[in-house]
Amino acid sequence: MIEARNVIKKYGAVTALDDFTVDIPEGKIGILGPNGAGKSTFVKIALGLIRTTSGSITVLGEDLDRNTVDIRRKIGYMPEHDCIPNSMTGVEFLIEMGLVTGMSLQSATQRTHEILGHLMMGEEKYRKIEEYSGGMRQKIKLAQGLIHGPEVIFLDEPTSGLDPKARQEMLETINGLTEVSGTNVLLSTHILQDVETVCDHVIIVNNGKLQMQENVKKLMQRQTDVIQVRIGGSTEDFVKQLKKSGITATSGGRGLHVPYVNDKTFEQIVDSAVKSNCQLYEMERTTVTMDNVYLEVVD
Amino acid sequence: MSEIILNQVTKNYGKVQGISEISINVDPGLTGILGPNGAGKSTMMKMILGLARPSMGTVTVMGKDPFTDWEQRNKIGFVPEFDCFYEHMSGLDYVSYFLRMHNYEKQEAEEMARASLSELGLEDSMERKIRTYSKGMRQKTKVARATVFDPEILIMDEPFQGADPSTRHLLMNKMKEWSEKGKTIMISSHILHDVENLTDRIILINNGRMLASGDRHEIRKLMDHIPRQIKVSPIDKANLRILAKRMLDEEWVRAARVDEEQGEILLETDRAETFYLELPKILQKEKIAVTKINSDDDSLDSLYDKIVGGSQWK
Amino acid sequence: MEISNVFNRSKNLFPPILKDCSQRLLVNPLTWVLVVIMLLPCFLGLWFYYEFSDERQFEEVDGEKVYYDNNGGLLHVELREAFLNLSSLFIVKFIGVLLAIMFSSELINEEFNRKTMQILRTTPIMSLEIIFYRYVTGVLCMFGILASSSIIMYIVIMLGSGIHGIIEELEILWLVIKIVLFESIAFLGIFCLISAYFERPFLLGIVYWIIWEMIVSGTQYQQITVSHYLESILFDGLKDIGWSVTAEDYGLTKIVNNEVVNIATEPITAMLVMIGIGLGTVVWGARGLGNRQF
Repeated sequence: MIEARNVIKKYGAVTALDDFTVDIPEGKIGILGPNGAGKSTFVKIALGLIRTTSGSITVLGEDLDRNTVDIRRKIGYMPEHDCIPNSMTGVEFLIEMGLVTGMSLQSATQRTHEILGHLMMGEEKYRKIEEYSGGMRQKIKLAQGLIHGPEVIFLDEPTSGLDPKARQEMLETINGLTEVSGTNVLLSTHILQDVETVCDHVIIVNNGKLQMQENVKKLMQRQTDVIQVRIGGSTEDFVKQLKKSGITATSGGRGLHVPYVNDKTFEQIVDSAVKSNCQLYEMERTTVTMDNVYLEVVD
Repeated sequence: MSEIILNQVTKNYGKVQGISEISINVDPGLTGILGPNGAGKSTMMKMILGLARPSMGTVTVMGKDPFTDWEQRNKIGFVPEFDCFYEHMSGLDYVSYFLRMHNYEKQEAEEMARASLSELGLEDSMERKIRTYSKGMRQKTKVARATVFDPEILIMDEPFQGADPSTRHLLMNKMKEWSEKGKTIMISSHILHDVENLTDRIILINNGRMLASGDRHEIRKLMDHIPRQIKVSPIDKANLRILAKRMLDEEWVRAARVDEEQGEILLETDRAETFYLELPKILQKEKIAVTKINSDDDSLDSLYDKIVGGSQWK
Repeated sequence: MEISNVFNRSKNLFPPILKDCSQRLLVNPLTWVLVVIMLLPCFLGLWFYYEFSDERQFEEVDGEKVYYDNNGGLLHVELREAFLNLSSLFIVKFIGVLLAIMFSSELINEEFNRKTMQILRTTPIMSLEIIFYRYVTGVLCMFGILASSSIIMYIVIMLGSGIHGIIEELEILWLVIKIVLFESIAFLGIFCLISAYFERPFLLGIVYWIIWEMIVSGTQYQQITVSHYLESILFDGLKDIGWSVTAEDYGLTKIVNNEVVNIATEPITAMLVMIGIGLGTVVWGARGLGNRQF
C-alpha cells in the first residue's frame, strides 16, 4: 500500500526521518512510536502534506512527487484534534465535506446517510454537533474522513479521551466500516490494546527509523516462560505444596507467577491446588503483549 | 482507619447532579475509579481534595474535613485531568514555584524539583518552556508537581491521557512503587487494561451513583447469578470430548461446548466457586492434563461491561 | 502562633509570586497599549513644543532661563495646569482604572482560566495568602507604571518652561504620584474582589466604574466612591501648595437645605479610607476564594 525508499526528512538541523525504508502491505496497520519519533512526519509525507528532503515514496502505486492531487482523492484523514464546526448538524457538516471533495449534492447526501447508517448514528445526526458526546464527535470525524470513499484512511488517535464503552464502540466501528468497504487503515495511537484489537500489522518507529514490522496475530502468539496462576483460599498453602514439587512461585502484580519448565508444570499446579484445597481460578501460560513488544523495541 | 471516608455524599452543581449518596472507605494502596465520562469521577476527587464541598453528607480525609482544613493539604497530591500550567515557565520553574507555596526555601525547592523531574525522565527537557512540551511531558510534569513533596494521598485524574506507552509504563511503575510505600493512591482511567495491570481494587460509578467497590474478583463473585464461561484446554486433543462429557455429569455445569479449532472446551457455570474448587480434583482423578484454565469473564473489561452496562439488574 | 506561621511563610511565598506575577503583568501587550495611550497626549505636546518653542520670551535670573508667555504671565504656571488636567484625566481617571481592571483580571481570573487556581487551592496556604501577595505585586506594578508615566508626562509638558519650570513645580508631581499610589491601593483591591467572585471581571469592572465611580461621584452620596477620596487628597494637596482652589471646583460639595456645604475629606482620613478599602476588599475576596467550589 505504501512504499518508502530511503526517505530522509530534515527540519533545519533536526532529522525527523533518517533513511526510512518501509513496505506497508494492504490491510489495517498500526503505527506506534514515542512522541517525536518521526511517526507524524511519516504520516504527513504519506498524505502529501509535506515533501521529503530526499528519497521516494509511493502511495497506492502512485508516486507522490508527481501526483499529489489525484492521490488525495484516495486518502482520508481523521485528525486527532477537534476540527469540526459546532454550529452545524452532523448531516450538514458531512454533506458540506462531500461537496468540498467534488461530489454532487445528490451523491454527497446519499453517501452521508449511508456512512452515518454504518456508524449507527440515529436521530442524533440531525442535532447540532455542539450537543454531541465525545464518542459521537469522534464518529463524525471518522465519517468526514470516509466521505469521499478513500482507499486508505489515516486515523490519528481515534480513541483518545473516550470512556471504555465509547472506545469499544469506536474500535468496532472502525473494524466494521473498513471491512464493508475494504478500506485500508493506518492507525496511530498510544493505546497499544487498540492495535491488538484492530490491526493486522504493526510497525514501530523510533528515532526516525523503522524499528519493527510484524504481523499482529503472530506476534501475540509468542509465549513467555511464565504461567499466570490465581488461587482462591490459602495462597500460602498452595505455594508450600508447589515448593514440595520443586517449583518456586513468585507473586506478580495480580496472582502468582510460576516458571514454565515443560507441560508437566501444569499438572503440578493442578496437584498442588487439590492438595491445598484451593480454587484454581486461572492457569495460563502468558503470551507476549503489545506492551512487552513495544517497550523492548523502543527502550 | 481508612485514610479517606465518604459518608452518604451528595453533590449537585446547581441543578446538575454531580454525585449522589456515595459512601466509601479508601485504604492505603492503589484504588481505581472507573466509569463513563460524566459519571462523577472528577467530582468525587474534588470533594476529597477539598475543592468542592458536599451538598449533603460528609467527607473525611485523614480524620479532617478537607474543605476547611487547609493545613493538611501538604499531604495530598493532585494530578488533574486538565492542563494547569503557567505556559511561560519551564518545567523546573513550575514545580519549584509550587514547592515554594509549600514553604520550601528557594535552594531546596529547586533541588527537590530537579530530582523529581529527573526521576520521571525529564532531565533533558526540564529547563525548556512548558509551552513546548508534548502531552506525555506535560503529564510527567503534573505528576512530578503532585508527588515532589511526598504526599500521603495521591489523587490522579486520567494520568495516562495522551501519554505514549513508555511514559505510561514509567508512571505505572512509579505508582506501584508509591503504593508499596503505603501511600493512598486513587486513579481514574478510561483504559481498563492499565487499571487491571495496576490494581484489583476498584470503585465503579455511573450517573453519580456508586455501582460497586472493592476487589474486582470479589465483586464478580457477588454476581454469580450471571453464568460464567470458563475455558479449559487439555494438552491432548483426544481428551476434549471426554472431559466435556465428564464435566456435564456435574450439576453445577450448565453447558459445555467443544471448540476443536482452538483446542478448548467452553464450560458454563453459575456456581463458579464450586467449579474452581472441584475442577482440579476431577482433572487429577481423570488424569487429564490441561494447559489452560481461564475465563474472559474475569477481565476488568467484562466486569465493567456487565456493571456499567447494567446487566447485573437483568 | 497562626500569624507568626503566616509571617514565616511569607519569605518563601512572596518572592516567587512577585517574580512571576510582575513578569506576567509586564510582558502583557495590553499593558503597553494602555501605557502608549496614556502618554500619547503629552507626546503630541512635545511636537507642539518644538513647533512653538522659539516664540517664547525669557529672562535670565541667576543663569537660569525663566520663560513667559505673550501676556507676560509665567509660562510654568500655565503648563502646570495643563499637566494636572492631563494627568488627572488620562492617568488617574481613565487609564489607571482600566489598568487596575486588567491587572486584577490577569492576577486572579487568569489563574481560574488556566486552572492553576485549583492547584493553588490544594497547596497548604490560606486563600488570603494566595490573593494578598498577588494584590501587593499588582499594586507595586501599577504604581510603578503610573508613577513613571506621570514623571515622563511631567517632564515632557514642563519642558516648555525650561529647566527652571521643571524644578519650580515639582510639588505638583509629588502630589500626582501620591494620588496614583492610593488609587492603585484602592481600585486594585476592589477589582480583585470582583475577580475572585465573578467570571467576567472585565465587564463587571467597567460596569462598576461607570455606574459607581462616574455617576455616583459628584452627587450627594459621593462619600461611598473612591473618586471622592482621590479628589479630596488632590484638593487638599493643591491648597497646601498654595493654589487658589475651592471645593466646588472638584465637586466636593453637596446641597443641604439649599446651602452648598463643603464635604471634602481630610487627607489623612482619605488615605486611611483608601488603605482600608484595599485591605478590606482583599480579605473579602480571599473569603470568596476560600469558599469557591470547583
